[in-house]
Amino acid sequence: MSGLASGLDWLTGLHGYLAVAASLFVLGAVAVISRKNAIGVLLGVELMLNAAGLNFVIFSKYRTAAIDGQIVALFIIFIAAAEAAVALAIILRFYRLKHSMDASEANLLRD
Amino acid sequence: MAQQALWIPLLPLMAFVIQVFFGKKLPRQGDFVSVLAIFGSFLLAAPIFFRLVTTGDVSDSLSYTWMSLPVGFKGSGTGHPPVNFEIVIGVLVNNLTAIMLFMVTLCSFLIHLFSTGYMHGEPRYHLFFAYISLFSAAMLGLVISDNLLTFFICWELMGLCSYLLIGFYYDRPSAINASLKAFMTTRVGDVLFFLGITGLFYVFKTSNFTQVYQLVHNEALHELMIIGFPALTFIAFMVMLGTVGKSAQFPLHVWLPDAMEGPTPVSALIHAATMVAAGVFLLIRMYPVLEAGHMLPVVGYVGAITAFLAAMLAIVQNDIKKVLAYSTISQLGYMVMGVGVGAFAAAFLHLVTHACFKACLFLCSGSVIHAVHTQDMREMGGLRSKMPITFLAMFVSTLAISGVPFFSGFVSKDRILAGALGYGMEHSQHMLIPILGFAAAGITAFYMFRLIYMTFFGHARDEHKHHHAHEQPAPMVIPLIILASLSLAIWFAGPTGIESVDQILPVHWYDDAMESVQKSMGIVEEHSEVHHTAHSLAMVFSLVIAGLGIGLSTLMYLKAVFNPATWQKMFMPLYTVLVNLYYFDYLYMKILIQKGLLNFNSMLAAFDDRVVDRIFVDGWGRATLVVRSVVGKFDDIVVDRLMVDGTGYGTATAGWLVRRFQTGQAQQYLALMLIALGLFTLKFVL
Amino acid sequence: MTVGLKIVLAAAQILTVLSAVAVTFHPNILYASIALFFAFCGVAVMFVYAGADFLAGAQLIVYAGGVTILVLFAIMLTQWLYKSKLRDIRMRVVAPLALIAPALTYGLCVALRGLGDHVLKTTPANFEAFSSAPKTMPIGQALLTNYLLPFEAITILLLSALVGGVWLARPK
Repeated sequence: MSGLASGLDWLTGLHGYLAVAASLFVLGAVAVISRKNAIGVLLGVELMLNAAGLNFVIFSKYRTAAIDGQIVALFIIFIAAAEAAVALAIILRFYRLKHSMDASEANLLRD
Repeated sequence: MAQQALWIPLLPLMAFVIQVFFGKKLPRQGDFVSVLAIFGSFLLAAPIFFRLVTTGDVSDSLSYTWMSLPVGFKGSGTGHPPVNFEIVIGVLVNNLTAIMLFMVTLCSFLIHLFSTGYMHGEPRYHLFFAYISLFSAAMLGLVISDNLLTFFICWELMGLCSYLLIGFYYDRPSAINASLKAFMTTRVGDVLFFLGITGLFYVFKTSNFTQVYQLVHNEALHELMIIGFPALTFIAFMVMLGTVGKSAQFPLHVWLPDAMEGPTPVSALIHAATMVAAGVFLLIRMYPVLEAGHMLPVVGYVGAITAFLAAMLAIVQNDIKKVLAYSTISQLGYMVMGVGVGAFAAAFLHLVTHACFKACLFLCSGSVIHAVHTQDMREMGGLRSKMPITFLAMFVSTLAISGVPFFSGFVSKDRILAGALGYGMEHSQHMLIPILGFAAAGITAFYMFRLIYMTFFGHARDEHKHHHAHEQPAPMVIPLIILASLSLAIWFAGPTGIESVDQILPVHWYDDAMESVQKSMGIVEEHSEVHHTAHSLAMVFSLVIAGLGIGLSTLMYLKAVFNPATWQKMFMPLYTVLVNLYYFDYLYMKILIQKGLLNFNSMLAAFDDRVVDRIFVDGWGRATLVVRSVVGKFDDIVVDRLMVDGTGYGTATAGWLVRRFQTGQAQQYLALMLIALGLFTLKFVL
Repeated sequence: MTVGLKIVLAAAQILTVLSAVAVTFHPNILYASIALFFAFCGVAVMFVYAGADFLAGAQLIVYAGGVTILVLFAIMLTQWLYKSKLRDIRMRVVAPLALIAPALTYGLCVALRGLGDHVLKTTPANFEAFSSAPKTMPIGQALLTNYLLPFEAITILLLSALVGGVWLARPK
């Protein structure tokens, strides 16, 4: 049982948080790259943003025990909200234009 | 007053501009614009003149800096204030100017008035008035100029106007030739005159008359040399040559008789008020320089020879205007001679009196020509009864020019001859001058009366033309009357010695005016005993000689005691020479121009062709070609290919490389970003 | 912290990671977005355990409540429900990702472990007090004092995002 208990301690401590954040970040990144659907890309971005916020909060707690990290995480939430609103509006517009959700078709800037 | 004087030439100038642009559209083709403009000038000039007559002296001036040329620095090196060579132009009103302004505006106005009748119905009527307005403006501008620069500008303007007016009937080849001849001949004088002005600037650093008068007595200036001659002599000679060209003096007199191709009012304008008077006026203005340059005897000889030779020529002419033309040359010779012998005031007086009676003579001849439609005196005769006013005016003028007492010509000519005689008695080596002068006086009387007798007396030689002749309308006759009345002596006569007469006459005004002029110019007129003797002698001589001339003329052409044809045979060689105008035209045309100038021209053309064109221009071209190809290769290979194209290719290649990554796929960018992040973590892994 | 609480936290962490896996790999975008909702909730729990109570609330309201609903709206406006493609994965990138993703995970884990070890060497003085104290008041004070300028900037950003979103999504 001690092995399990120490595993539980590790998971709920700083390193557990960091491991979860890293997992979220990589999963989000994979979603961003591999998803065809533009909304899927957006979901991946949200995951990555959450991972970042999580890191800010947990490092702030263990390093300084001050609320500055939480403030930055709060700003990340705000910005993510704004980004989601604008991105979804763009996606709707894009869908109306191309009748498709494939992000790879948004390539007018290529030439 | 100078401000007022400035407007005198400006008014006709404005009339010229209006006439050129709008003349055709105005009622009566705008002749009233020119006439009113010159009348306005006359009204402006009259107060100045009357102020001179009443107060005896007028003087005023106005000056503007025309341009200021930096020519150096005070001291050496920079930082010093620049030294400017200022060209100042302005208006000078003195007694000479006042008299000239009055005379020129009056004559011009009367000629303008006459032209409205004479030119009536002619083509290019408005242009004629534009030209004579410009002509008057130029002459008036010349008169008020206080420096030789604007003087020369107006001088050249008059040359242009004479060219335009002599060639006014440009559909006649003879008119074109005459205008070209006038222009080219005066151009010879003008170029030399301009050299003189350049020399004047070199010596005096100014061309302002007043300053020149003051500086001319500076001994240091007499030391200066121009191309091996004393500078002042050079200037004086060149100025004299300017006059020779403009006033048709020997040997550049050939253009003036041909100038008769122009309309008769133009002849009157050229001969009386403007063009030829300008030359004499120049001599009078530049008198101190001529004196300082020891050029006066030369001037005297030129004048005397011209007076005599031209008078001789006038005898054999049958064209009424040609006679008058030669008489003008002769009279101008008198004036030039007067200046040359130092009878400065007399010469200027003759300029004024001559302007009046010569204008009258020309206008009368115009009136006659207008009536009979010919210029040949052999087709006239007996016109006295048909044209009484014209006859009377012309007769009065003829008396004046012949030097008959109580007419203006007597007063002025007598003074010139007196001056010449005095000069000859003082310097006996120059006795030829008065001899030629007196001879010319006699001949003048002879040919002028010949003209009168052939035109107005005797029987009508051409019945048809005589029948249609009639007196001219008022605008043409009134000027004749005014000008004829000005030919009377009373306007110009000095004191007669009879007290009751002297009280009425405007005596002294001229002598008073001239005295202050001579003082301002620094001229001292000698009143030696010789001159008094000469004066009395000259009066007797001139009376006798004029009487002889008139008498001979009367016997030959009125009473037919002598037959002119017999005399012609008797003096056949002389007659041939005279009819051929001393072969001057032949000399100039055949020898000077065709043999000399044209050969010289072709030589210059050959030089231009072989040396300048082939060697310099073409050679330079070839040299440039070689340099061009070398520079072109360098430009092509190094600059264009290596640098310009190289930069382009480099940029294009770099762009091509970068473009591989720019697919426009947001997800690809993110993938690249992740790879970069992975590489970033290597720092911790390793 | 009791073992029970630790188990709850661990469960939340596992839920979060599993939900994230679903978000990433589920072929139906609708289910993926619902899985995202659970991932947000798990993160909110983690915030609570990290002493960020206010942040957890914000996470729930903004993310779980707002963004998820927005995403669902967008999906329903653009696609036929239940009819989306079976595979929503770009096959071209699977092979490179199979290389990159593990490598990246490994690199991140190594880097973060190093950082964590470094941080754990010192413990802040008020660590225990900070963890249990309520954060609403200090965050409010910090936003209106030290962080006033970014706060105002964020308000303007939100406003312009709102207006821009409306302008972009407006009917023709």
